[in-house]
Amino acid sequence: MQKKPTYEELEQRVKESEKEAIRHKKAEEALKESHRYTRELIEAAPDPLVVISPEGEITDVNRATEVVTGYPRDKLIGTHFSEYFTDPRKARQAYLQVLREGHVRDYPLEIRHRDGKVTPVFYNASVYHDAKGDIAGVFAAARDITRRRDAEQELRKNEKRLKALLAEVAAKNEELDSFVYRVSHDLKSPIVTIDGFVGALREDFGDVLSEGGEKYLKYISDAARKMELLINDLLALSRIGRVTRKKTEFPFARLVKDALKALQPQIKARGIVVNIQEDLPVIYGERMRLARAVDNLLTNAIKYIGKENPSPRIDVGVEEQDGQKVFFVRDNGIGIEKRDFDKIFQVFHRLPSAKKQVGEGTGVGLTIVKRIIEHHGGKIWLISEPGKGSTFYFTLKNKEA
Amino acid sequence: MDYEPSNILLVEDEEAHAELTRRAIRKAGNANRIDVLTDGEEALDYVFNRGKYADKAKYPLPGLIMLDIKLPGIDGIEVLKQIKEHPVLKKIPVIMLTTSDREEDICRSYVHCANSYLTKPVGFKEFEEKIMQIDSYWMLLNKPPILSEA
Repeated sequence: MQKKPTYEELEQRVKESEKEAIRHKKAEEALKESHRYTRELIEAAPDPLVVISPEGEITDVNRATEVVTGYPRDKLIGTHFSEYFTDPRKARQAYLQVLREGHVRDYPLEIRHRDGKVTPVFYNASVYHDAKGDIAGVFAAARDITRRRDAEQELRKNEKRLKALLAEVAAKNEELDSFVYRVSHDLKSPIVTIDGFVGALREDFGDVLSEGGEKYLKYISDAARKMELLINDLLALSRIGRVTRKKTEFPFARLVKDALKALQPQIKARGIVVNIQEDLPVIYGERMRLARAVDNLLTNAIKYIGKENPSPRIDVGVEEQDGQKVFFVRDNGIGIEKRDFDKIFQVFHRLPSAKKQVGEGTGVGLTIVKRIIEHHGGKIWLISEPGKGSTFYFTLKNKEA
Repeated sequence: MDYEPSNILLVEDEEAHAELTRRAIRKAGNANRIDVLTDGEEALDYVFNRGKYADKAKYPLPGLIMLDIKLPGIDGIEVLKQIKEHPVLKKIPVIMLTTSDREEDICRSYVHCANSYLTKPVGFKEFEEKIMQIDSYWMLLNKPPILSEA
């Protein structure tokens, strides 16, 4: 038989059950609050979120879904989710893939609004399970990619425009080159005449020419020679890239030695010590053109070695820079101001200091070098300091590339 | 009639260049006849003995043709082509003498069987020397073809 509770005990129980009720209510409120919080989150999401049953029926949607489809919630729920895409078949395939693989990522689809407006989206979805572990449905989110797609289209359009523009520039360049070529050739013919008849005049009428007359003839033939140099350089410049020769592999050292052989008189006259690094690599390219580039660089090095240089020296070699083979021609000559680094590669650009040092020159030599190197897919640059010398660096593409 | 021709035909539209060339040939001691023509059509009339050059006795076939490429009307390459396609004329040595060192011109000349390709050098001495060398090689060292006319 049960003992009758005392009054105090009863009072205690009542208090506890009251406390219990409060706790219960609080828990209920917390749960409600949590639901509300979750719901708000879902509703606040900018992406359309949809819950779909295993059969494909919409069981829940958020506000964004109403906006993108144009249908209110109660009209959406219970319908088949694929109806709202421009390509329902493709949408169903995505859904089957979710059921099969558990999820789908960035699946491109298009949602159709009830008034016809189409929104391109990336469809992302995952399955969710019930307590028993069976598939209870699919959570799906669609990300509006209109802006991204527009940007991509714009990018493609710009790319196309740029390509067309580049092609136009290339065509114009080619036209200009062939123009320079034709003009240069046409200019050569009168020089043959000028210099030819200055010679004929000297030979046939030299005895009746005064000293002044002879001086004038010299001015004429010097000018003709200068023009010839200029024309030859222009011709060479316009031919790079326009006339392409077969590319071969050959030792860089050979190129350097051949160039130096032809330059021996000037090297000797100035007492220049030339040092060629051993084990220079084999290079790949149009041999004659690269020979010209190396020749021009060496010629420059000699020209600008400086009249009062006590120990003139030129170094030719190769070094590693950022894992790339970089060839160099280094001199301890008069050097170049940093602000002139770009200018010296421009056609017809001659620095005043260069004019003072060596006089003659066409202002095309380094332009030719740059074009040859770039034609071979390489780069050319320099470091230099007035009074200390210059180092010209260049790279070349490997055969594989 | 078989004969060894010794005259030179110079086809050159630039009067001054023709004068320099003739001068150099004479300086080399060559006193043979030099005919100068200034365009391609005339050159073809000359070698084919057509039109005003119909008189074969007055205009015998040359032993050497020096041919410029850039000519008004029919250019030097076309003249060369027609000469080299002819069974008799093709035996005459034809030297292309031009300011052009275009790969294309060189290539086309040899495709049409030019016997030599030379560029006109700038510089009086160089020009003179080259012409004198041409003269001494082709007119003295080289054994000319025997041309038999039909």
